[in-house]
Amino acid sequence: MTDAHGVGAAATAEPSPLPPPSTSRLAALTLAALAGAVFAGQWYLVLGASWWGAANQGCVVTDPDPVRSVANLLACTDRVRAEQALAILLGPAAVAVLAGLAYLAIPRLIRWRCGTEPLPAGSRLAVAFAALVSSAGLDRPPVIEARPRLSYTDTPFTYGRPPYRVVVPGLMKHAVEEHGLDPTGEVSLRHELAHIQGRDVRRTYLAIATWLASSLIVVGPLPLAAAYRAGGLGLALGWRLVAVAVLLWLALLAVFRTREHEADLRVARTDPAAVIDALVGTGSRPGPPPGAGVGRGDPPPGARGGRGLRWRSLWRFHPTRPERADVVRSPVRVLRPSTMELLVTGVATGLVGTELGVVLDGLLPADAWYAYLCTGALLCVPLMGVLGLGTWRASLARGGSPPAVPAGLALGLGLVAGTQLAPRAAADWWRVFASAGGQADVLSLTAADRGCAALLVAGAALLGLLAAQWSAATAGAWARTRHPRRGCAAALAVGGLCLAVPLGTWLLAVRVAASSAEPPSRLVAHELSGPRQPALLAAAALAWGFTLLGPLLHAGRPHPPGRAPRPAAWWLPAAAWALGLAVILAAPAVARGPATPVAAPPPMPATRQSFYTCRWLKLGGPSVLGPPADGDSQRALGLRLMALDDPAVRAIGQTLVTSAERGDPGLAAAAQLALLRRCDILISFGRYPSAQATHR
Amino acid sequence: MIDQPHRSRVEVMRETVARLSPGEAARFDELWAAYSRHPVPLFARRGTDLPVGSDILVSHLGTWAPLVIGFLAQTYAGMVIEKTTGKFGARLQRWYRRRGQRRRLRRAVALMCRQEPPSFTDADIQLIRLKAFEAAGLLGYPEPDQRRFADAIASALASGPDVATGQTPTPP
Repeated sequence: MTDAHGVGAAATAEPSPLPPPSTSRLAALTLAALAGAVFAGQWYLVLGASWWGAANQGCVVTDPDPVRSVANLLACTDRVRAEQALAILLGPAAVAVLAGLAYLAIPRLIRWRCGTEPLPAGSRLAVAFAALVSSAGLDRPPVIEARPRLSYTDTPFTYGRPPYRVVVPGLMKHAVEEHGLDPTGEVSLRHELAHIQGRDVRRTYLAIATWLASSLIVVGPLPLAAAYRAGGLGLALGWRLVAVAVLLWLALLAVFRTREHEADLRVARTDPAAVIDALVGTGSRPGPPPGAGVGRGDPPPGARGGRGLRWRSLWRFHPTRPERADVVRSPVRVLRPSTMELLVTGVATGLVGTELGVVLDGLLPADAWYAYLCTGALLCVPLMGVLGLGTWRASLARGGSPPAVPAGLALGLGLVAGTQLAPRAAADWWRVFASAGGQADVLSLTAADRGCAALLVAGAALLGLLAAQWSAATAGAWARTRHPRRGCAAALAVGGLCLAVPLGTWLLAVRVAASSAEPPSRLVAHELSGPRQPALLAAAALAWGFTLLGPLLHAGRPHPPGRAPRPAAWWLPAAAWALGLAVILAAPAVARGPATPVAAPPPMPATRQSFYTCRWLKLGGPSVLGPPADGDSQRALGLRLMALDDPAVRAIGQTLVTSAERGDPGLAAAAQLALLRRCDILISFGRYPSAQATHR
Repeated sequence: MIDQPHRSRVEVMRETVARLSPGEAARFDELWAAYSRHPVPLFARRGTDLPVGSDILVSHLGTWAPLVIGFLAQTYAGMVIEKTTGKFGARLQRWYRRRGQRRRLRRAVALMCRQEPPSFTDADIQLIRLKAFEAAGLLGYPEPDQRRFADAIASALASGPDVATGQTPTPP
């Protein structure tokens, strides 16, 4: 039954047992801040630091045994790469420290700026507040303070750490002393207590502190530093940093807006009509004055909806009062993840995945796939926290899951956009900074084969679609559980585990496609071969098994009231999963089909100078070295290298010859890797007079 | 005009509050002290202060002292009867004007205890009366209260026998 305010749904809505939606908005903010901080670490401590030249040049051949020399060279370069990766991680550490300091300083700043004063215990407002606090049942009662200034646009707010401080405007203090606490004032104070009950005060000020720290370390100085580097880099890096800044700002605003909705809903649990009255004044009592406190961009009184207004609402600190009243009437509007939220989360995930993947690759010297698997696993926590948690929250509130197709497409395309917006994708850093080394590969998909780029975009869309559909299916299938919080936790853990494998594989594929310009068939063969195919199949099987387990475990149990799963179209999930499995199973076989004609590699220059041989290798790519299993080609290559002037390159050549004699492709692969790294050092830090000028 | 050499602008405010709400007159000094420490325009823009506020405007209906103090301080600072000119760069102009308003308000408030009320012309008083009526309306006061407030302000600024007798002048 719906009353005059249309609050029937709100009045019967049960409290969600899951973390509130503002936590999801915080995830996007944290991810964007992390991505910016990682790049800042790379910029200040690796690209702009001169000491890495000496560290790299310290990796010299000292052992008479060439095989051991190669092993030593690899171990030394591994160590330098790990040290660089750790140095990069100092960027996030610096942002975290500054954010912590800002978090500690913010209460003092507020007290200084607002000049708040505690209310006398016997005042009418203090007595009324104490009554509200005792009815709220808070563990640590907050302290009430008042702003001295008499402004008609000030509203109550909460700050500090437990015991929190609730600040009321000077005008409210005066009005309550004169006439007592009216219903609007009561709703306003209960709204502040709801922030404390929802534990979002700390989260919000942490978000503000994180944004401040990111602005001071990343968003503010880096575009200036990029602009100093004239030409294409300044522009390419500048607009990406602006995009990161906009993303951070939008995520912070989303945190502000969502927490207001959550507090409204918490207050509305007991008296929704009073909340709507206080917001839009539809009851017997006159509402807030129509002209007072109208902020910039607010719609005119009575205006609703409209695409322009919806876009404008993204830039507001607060939702408009009509929007807030609408959410009180229909809480699922804020509990369900919106398409825009998923798009922003996808972008933030792509940003961090691009930055973090390269760092973890430096820290973990094994196969790059394992580093990207770890990246995927780390990113799946916030990703499932937004998508999975939002879907569960909406399901438990009987609002239904978000539509899988727009949600999945937004997530997938956001992921692609994020990888391209990452500051690291702005340039081929090796061409700009000598200290970049060869590890900072090209990451922009504009450098990739067009077919590969299209394939990767389609793959991301399919991944997003599968993730959204799986979340909806799981939330529906496990809806009968008696402990929704436990069921949700299990689903998020399984979802994160299963999503980590394809996400990590996809992020690595972007890097491989962008830096090697391989055709699509070779990319697919590379990405879905070896341990990756069984891992992907296992992830798919685990995901499906978990979804099917829900109905099996709870067969015969009645649905808790209002939690009956809605009948869903079966064909869409089936088609999506069949497509995903077909890609995993069939793609490598298709890629191994007729060999794509590949242009013959350019011949090795006839010179004794290692530098020019290294340039040849850099321009032709690792494929010019030939397959490690081909003993003849490796022997020929080794003999050519043994005639060069650099002792380390000669030792590598000797190792290649040894590998051919022993028939040991593993040794040949190690020698090839050592040659690539030695060439990076020679080109970046070599003593050749023309080296720096040439590679620039 | 009656000569009132010892009547400062703050005393005009106090008298106006006493006329509108005798109960609030007892707390006038406290409220004036709060206002003079942090003078703020009546229609400060929302959202420029702290983004964490509840944004639920608390009801102030029935209180008069903050309205009288705020409106008369702005009147004495010359902010009520000024006009905005030009359309080019309107947003920048508004921002600059607001900065100027705050500065003027602070200066005016600092001198208010010592200065006598200025002599407004009849035309100025009619305009201020209209502005007072509008201001109370924008802050949500019902029409009778708006009229009462405008009359009290006009009579306070007109000074002369109206102030002494408490009679409001004839509305325009």
